[in-house]
Amino acid sequence: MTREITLSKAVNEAIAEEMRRDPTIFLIGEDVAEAGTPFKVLSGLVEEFGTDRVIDTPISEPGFMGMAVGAAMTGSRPIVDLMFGDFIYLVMDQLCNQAAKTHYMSGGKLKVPLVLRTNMGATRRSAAQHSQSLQAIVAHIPGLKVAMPSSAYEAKGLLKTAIRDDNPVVIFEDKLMYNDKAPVPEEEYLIPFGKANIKRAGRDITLVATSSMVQVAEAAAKILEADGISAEVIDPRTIVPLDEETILNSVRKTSRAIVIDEGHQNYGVTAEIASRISEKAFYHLDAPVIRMGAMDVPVPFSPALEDLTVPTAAKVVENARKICRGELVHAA
Amino acid sequence: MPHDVIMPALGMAQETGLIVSWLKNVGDPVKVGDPLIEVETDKATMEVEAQADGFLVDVQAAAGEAVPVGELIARISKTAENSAQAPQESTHPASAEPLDGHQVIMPALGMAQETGLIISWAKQPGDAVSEDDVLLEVETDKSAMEVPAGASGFLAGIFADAGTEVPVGDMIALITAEKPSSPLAKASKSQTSATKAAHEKPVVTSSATSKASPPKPSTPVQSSGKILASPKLKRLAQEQGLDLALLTREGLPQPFHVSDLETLKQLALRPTSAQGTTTQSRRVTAKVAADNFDGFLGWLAAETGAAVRAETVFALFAAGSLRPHMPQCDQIIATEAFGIRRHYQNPDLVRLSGVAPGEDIENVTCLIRDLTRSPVTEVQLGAETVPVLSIARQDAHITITLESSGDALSAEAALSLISGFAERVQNPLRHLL
Amino acid sequence: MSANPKHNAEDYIRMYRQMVRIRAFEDNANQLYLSAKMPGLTHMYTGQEAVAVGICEALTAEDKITSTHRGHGHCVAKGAEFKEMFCELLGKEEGYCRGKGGSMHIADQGNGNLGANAIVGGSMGIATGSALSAKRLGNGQVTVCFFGDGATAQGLWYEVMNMAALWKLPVIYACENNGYSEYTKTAEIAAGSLTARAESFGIEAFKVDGQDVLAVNKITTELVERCRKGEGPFFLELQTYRYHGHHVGDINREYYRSKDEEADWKESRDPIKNFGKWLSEQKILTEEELGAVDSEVAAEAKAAVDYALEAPYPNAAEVDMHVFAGVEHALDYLAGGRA
Repeated sequence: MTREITLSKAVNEAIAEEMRRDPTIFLIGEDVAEAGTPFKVLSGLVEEFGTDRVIDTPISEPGFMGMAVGAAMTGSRPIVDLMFGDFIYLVMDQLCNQAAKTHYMSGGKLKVPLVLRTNMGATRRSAAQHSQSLQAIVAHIPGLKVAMPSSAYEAKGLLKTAIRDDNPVVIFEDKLMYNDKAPVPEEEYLIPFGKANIKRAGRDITLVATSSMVQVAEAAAKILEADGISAEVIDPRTIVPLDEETILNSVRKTSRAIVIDEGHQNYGVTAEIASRISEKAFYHLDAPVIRMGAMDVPVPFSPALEDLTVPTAAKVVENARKICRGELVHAA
Repeated sequence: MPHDVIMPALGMAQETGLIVSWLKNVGDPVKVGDPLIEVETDKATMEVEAQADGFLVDVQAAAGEAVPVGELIARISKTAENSAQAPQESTHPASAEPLDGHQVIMPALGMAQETGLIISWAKQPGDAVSEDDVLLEVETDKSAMEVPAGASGFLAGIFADAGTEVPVGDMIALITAEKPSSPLAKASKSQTSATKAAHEKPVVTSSATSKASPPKPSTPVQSSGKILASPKLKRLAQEQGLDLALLTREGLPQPFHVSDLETLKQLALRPTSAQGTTTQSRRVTAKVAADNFDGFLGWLAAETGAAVRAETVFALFAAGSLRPHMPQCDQIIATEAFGIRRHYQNPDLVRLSGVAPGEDIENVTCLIRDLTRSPVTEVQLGAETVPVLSIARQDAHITITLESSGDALSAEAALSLISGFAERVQNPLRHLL
Repeated sequence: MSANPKHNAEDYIRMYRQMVRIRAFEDNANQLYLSAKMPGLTHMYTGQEAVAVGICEALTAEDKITSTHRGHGHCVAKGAEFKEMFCELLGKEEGYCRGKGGSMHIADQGNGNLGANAIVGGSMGIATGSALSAKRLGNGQVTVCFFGDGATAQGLWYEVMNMAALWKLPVIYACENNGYSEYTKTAEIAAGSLTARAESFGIEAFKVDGQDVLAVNKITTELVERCRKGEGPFFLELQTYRYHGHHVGDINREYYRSKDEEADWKESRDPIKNFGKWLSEQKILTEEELGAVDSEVAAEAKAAVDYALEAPYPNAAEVDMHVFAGVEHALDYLAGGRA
């Protein structure tokens, strides 16, 4: 049975199901209990699982992140709620120096099975410190896995997989998508990491897109269809690990690619994927691979400015038309 | 078994330690914890303590010597006798004692030079070297020079790392006749590189067997480097034996994509279908007086103070004569004189003084054979793959022969080329100034 | 000293032996480093032996500790073997961390050591989380968080002390105050009193002579019991002294501390010498028996060093193993290969 539920509800269900299954799981973060977070994603969990397992912390991100690492090393499976993705910078030492390296530094003896749930996404008029999409920063660190759900269906299936993983996993949910509905089965399901989803098959160009950019890519594909350009849309679902083979096979078929992600473009997720395509499918490319990330400026507050900084379907269409027509996008 | 006394590793980036003074003499009894030597390193001094009871023997280095970290400096033995295996006199570089081997010295190069900066070592400790091998590169007084080994044998030790500034006259390396059992290099360093090497092996193997190795650069497409085409089209063209230059000759807009593949295939078919029917060899000759051209060359040499090759001027003239027929395209003029082939790219578009031969490139537009200094007076060789202008002398004249296949140049273009060229040879100044 | 926490002479002898083992381990490690046989950076625990031994002897093998860059002593005291420890110091495959951790990350994980941490103060969250885990799982385990006086300047400590106190977690924050924060006197980096900082969170705090193994063991035993009863957390400030510099190679130290001061601590406050004297006064061990312990330990250390020097390095194929649990080779996995 499949019904339509919001992404927020999908996350809530995933956590509840897993907590029922495994008593070593607990939730920790700021205002996760009665408040259920500012986005109300976790509402109702404290009623079922109690304050012993849904733990409200003081506003001490490095503190509770570090505690989650220690708890994960000693038999618990914590789910950390980081209220805004921008606060990743506050927990960098605990996440990147401790959680990510413990298994390796201990020669494989210690494990850190924890999930860091946080969010990303601009155009909520929240300005530079509450709008960033920082997935590239954690994806850069060996030892961390990074998932980016593109709908309620992915949000639930990927989160359940993350909770069962024996490694630190960071999940970025787009905060603008919490109320977006998608079909989600009633029955239990998991989505494996490192397995991309071909959202739409196409012939002429591959659009690789993450999180909410999958919607942008699908919208672009529809417009391009009217031009007679057939676009294939690929959602990697996890950027660490990355399902290279699905992406490369698609590009080998279409010979053209645009990579779209809401993180900053410089040194970003788009750069990494574009570079792997250029390296590994070079002789199949009929056009340069285009990166489309967020503009390399701090996210501005004014709606008039903020909207300029994110990739849109119109911009994807413009780039896709150019490269399908054989115009050199950056011919010097 | 005697206990080794080792030059300690102390600083974060320390390579050697300087022995300030010996606090015990050879043969003295020592106890654990007794200070043996005062050592200076990283601007600090410390006492090295005995780690065993016994007698100080086999002292390897005297006060004032710098010893690499990890090197043996003495032994503590159960008896006061020196052991047989260790020579009592120092074998260390900074020693006043003569060293057993060829000392490589920081050379004095500049006028007022006091030090030299070691840019890099070309050899590693333990490597075999011959007298003339470049051993290292040294920078001094803003210039860099390579220093030869100066002796054959084995590089037994390097006493100053790349990046360090060494006073002129100081010893920087030692070359010995026999392969050293342990070259003088920091132990931890050699371990690191050994580990690296071990790790690199599988990588090398896998790349060697990789199927995705790029196509060999012997294709007509890649060596030009001037044709803008997508990687995929280049690969397909190579696989199908198609020359992308056919597209450029048609004057089609670049960059080329897979969508141009069909056109390319059609173009490639053309000469084959034409061969049996319309292909003809064109041969046109012209003859002009040589004196104007010879005078022009003499004048040029006087003006510029350097002799100008006749072939350079011919290349320029050929490109200028072809230009009206192919205004947009790159013109690659090849010249052959005395068996030497040179290439000129668009020589008509730069000043004469700037005309210089470029890299060896394909897709030649026109080949010029300069036979003016040979006894040949006129040729009939038959059409080749590109139009050929053969220039020769006959008495006081210069003869020009154009040979071309019918599809390379139309009759009109052939006539225009040779008459344009002949006119320029006859009145060189008019066309240049 | 009201009642000896350890009535059994065997326990005293074990404490003495463990302190001698730490001293012997560090003397050998120091020599390995100085003779350029040991790569990297290392920090000697010598002089602080009574702290690690006094505390760890009050713990079970299941109880947890977190350790520091100066962590060889904690590792030995928590039950580690010399052979695997020296192998780790030399980057050998048989090391506790398969040569991937080295001196600054050494840990015998099988004995409850959650790792030495090379970020000063970096383990305070881990230790507190371990206590949270123990409380939630109800396994009765206590966690001791070792850190130095320098780490009290890190903000993380105040965040986790706050939560530990709010939730009554079974954690003991053990601050080894050896008087120096790297190359700076503690007085110059710490305002006010360290115990008062813990007390401001409502945490009971104690100042202990860290050179007296029995005093350290007694207070720790009491606090561990109280932790198990849900009365934690606690804070211990252990006054101690490091005989060496901040790291091996920090030799000219006179700009921050005098040779006289060092000599005084070594002469009159050495934890091993003084405890040995007490053992012979109490007729628990004779001078000869103490000497026998010393030589047994020295022989054990030498054998382990010799073994480690000859032991093989990890195979090159190890380099991308243990990046992810459940993934054999990380590089394949990162390119999309299945685990």
